[in-house]
Amino acid sequence: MPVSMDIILGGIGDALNFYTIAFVVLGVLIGILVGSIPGLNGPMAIAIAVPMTFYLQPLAAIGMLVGIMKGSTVGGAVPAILLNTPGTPDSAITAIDGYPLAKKGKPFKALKMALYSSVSGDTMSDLVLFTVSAPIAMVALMLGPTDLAAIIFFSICLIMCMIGDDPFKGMLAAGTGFLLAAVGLAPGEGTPRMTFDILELEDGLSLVSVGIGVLVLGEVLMAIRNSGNKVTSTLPPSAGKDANRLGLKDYVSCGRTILRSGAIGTAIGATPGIGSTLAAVTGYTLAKRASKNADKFGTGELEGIAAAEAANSSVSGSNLIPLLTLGIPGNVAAAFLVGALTIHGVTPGPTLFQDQGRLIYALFTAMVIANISNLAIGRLGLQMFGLVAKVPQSIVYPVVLLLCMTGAWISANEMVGCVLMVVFGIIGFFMRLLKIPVITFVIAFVLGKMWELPLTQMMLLTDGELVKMIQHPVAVVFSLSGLLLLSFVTWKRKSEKRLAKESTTSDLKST
Amino acid sequence: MKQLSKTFLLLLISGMIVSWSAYAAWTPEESIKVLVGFKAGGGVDTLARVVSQKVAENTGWTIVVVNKTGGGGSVMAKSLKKAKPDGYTIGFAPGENFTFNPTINPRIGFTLHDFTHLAAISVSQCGLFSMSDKPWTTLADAIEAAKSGEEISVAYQAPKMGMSMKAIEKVFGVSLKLVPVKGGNGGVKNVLGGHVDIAWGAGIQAKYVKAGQMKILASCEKERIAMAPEAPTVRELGVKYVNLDAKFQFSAPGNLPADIAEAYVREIRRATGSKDIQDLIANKLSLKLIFTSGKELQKDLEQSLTEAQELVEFVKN
Repeated sequence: MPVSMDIILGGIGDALNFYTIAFVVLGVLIGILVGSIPGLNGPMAIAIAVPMTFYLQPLAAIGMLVGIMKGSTVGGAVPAILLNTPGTPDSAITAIDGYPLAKKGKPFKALKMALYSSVSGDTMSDLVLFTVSAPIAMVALMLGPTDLAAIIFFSICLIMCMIGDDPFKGMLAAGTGFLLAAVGLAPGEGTPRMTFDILELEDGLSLVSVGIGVLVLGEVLMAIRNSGNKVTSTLPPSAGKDANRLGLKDYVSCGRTILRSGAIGTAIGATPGIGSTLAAVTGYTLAKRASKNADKFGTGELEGIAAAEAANSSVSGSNLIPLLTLGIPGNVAAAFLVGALTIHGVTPGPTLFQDQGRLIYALFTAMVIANISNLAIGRLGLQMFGLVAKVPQSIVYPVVLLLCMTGAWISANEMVGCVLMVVFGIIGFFMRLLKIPVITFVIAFVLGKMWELPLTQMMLLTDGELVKMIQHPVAVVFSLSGLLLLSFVTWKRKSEKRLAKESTTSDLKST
Repeated sequence: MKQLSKTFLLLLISGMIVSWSAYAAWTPEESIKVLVGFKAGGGVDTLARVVSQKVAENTGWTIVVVNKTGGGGSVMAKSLKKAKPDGYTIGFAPGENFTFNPTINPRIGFTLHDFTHLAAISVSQCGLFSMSDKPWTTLADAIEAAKSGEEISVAYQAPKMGMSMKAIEKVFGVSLKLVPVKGGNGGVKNVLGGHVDIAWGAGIQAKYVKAGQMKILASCEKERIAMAPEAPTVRELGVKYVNLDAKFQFSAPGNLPADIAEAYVREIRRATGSKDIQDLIANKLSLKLIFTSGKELQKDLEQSLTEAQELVEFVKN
């Protein structure tokens, strides 16, 4: 059943009112501001904002959250370029060329390039989302519990592939995430697990409490610990208006890079379970490989900025493809969106386009509005965001702390939520101290929570006989490719290590 | 004569005062909290909000709806029990929160009798449904098919439904594949995609039934449901333990003073009498309109507590 035109037009009409637009623009503004402050990032802002949007109309609430997500990817480039202190891992790639260019006295040229390529990548990704999600949703209905269990298994394999340089710490983070996802009543039988007879834990640990705790409070505690180290910018004064002008020619010369990075980011975003950092790294690496001035990369090359920003921003639109059609979030920010959608009575999944088609197209319109305001606010506020990036942490963190508490309280109207948030804040602090990847932990927690139900359903439907999975080709393809990918990456990592070892020993021999 | 009329006048005035004070016995002086045990935006929450708003409009009371989610409504029930019985905290929940939940988990920390139950305003219209192209007319046919070896899967979204399915299995001596799903939408999605044969639905399936895409195999209530009056109840098919009977009701902490309870019952009755609320309940939420309060409601709840205990006992032994 294709979505009819009047539903699409109705949805577009729903989004075009003052109330909705105001909240979307507000979201973008918050996103850019939060992104501009070193140490804060989009997922943090969304974690805190989700409970605050409970009392808005569904469209305004979700539009605002998407606005924050989009705004923060633009904002993230600001501290990366001006201070060389990226707020998120993915904007670290932006800093590679952004900071050197700023040092040459052209900070605004770098910022403008980041803004334009970010919005371009984002728009590309959104266009893909708008066109493919309805058809995919129709196919998604054919995917049963077995297929869903396999797709989530595939995502889990992907995060295991990307657990970072220290596989042990990555596994520890993921393992803990899965373990804590099991808190609550077992699906079906309803046996309580790790609830200690606390009624409030029967539905499991809430993502809002865990997310705000680990992602935000943990970061704040870490910043308090490091408060001795001051960020000092050593930027020379700006080289004047002309040097900072970014002409159409500059943009066009980066056109191919933007397109390439946008495509990479879109593809990565559409894959459940992996995030924008990989997109930025891949986009940047490929741009460097394809560029004529590859040797200039890292010295303030515009193309480098464009490659990183277009890639990490184009993740945010296509991220919603698995989210809306299958109910599986593509990254941490999207996981919070699932929560927000359910709270507003919208169940992501294949029936969404039939049940709430109008709302979805209204949301798409809100995304376009968000992109336009991203461009407008970003362009007008360029000078101001530079100042925001220098707001002292002694002002930022107390405010954030207060917001954390408020968010945790609103999410359940219960003290338990706040207590959990604080506990997970302390856990997050120690994870950072021990360099255990927090994002891996949160994603494992989210996926673990989602995996259990389809897995239980699959076991019941197949009588626990894995052989019966053969009847589900989609499931077979996803499970096998997950396993293959994981063993390939492990093998490659091992052989790289061996090579590194051999080369050091041969170096020793030759000397 | 003069004296007499004076006395009469006094009597009249005092009579008016008495009757007036009996009528407006209790008026809240601060804001009222209505606790809801489910997420904002869901069916229970919508109903609570709409009725509360109407009561507020009619009376000028300040009413705030607060969602206290968790444990299938039990978190809310526990905090309602702990609240002061002063009329400023009441709750809105399906009756099974107070009857079924403590039956399956005796350590839950509350019983049906810890509350003053005010008024029930609607009752569920739950049925078992499948795609229309299945060869069965009623649940009995599906069970026959299962008996002759066909694998039949049934999706359920709440513990009471799972328990009821086990009772059905036990009575007919048949084994079905019971698959837990999340929310009514989980059942619809899996039946539409052909992953599960039959599912429980409390109203979400209505539009597919109307379109002829799905059919109701049995009613899971005491009576046949309005959506499909031709489908027999599971009780008619011989399983007396199955009666979902989720009555949506307002309750207050135990020992609520009688004048406060009276004021609430009166205002809830007045609010649910309005056309738009009746339309929401019957047409949008596919529930049945009822109004029971006081002793009658207490009797209904005792009845459903006994039924819940019988169901659990039958399945467990």
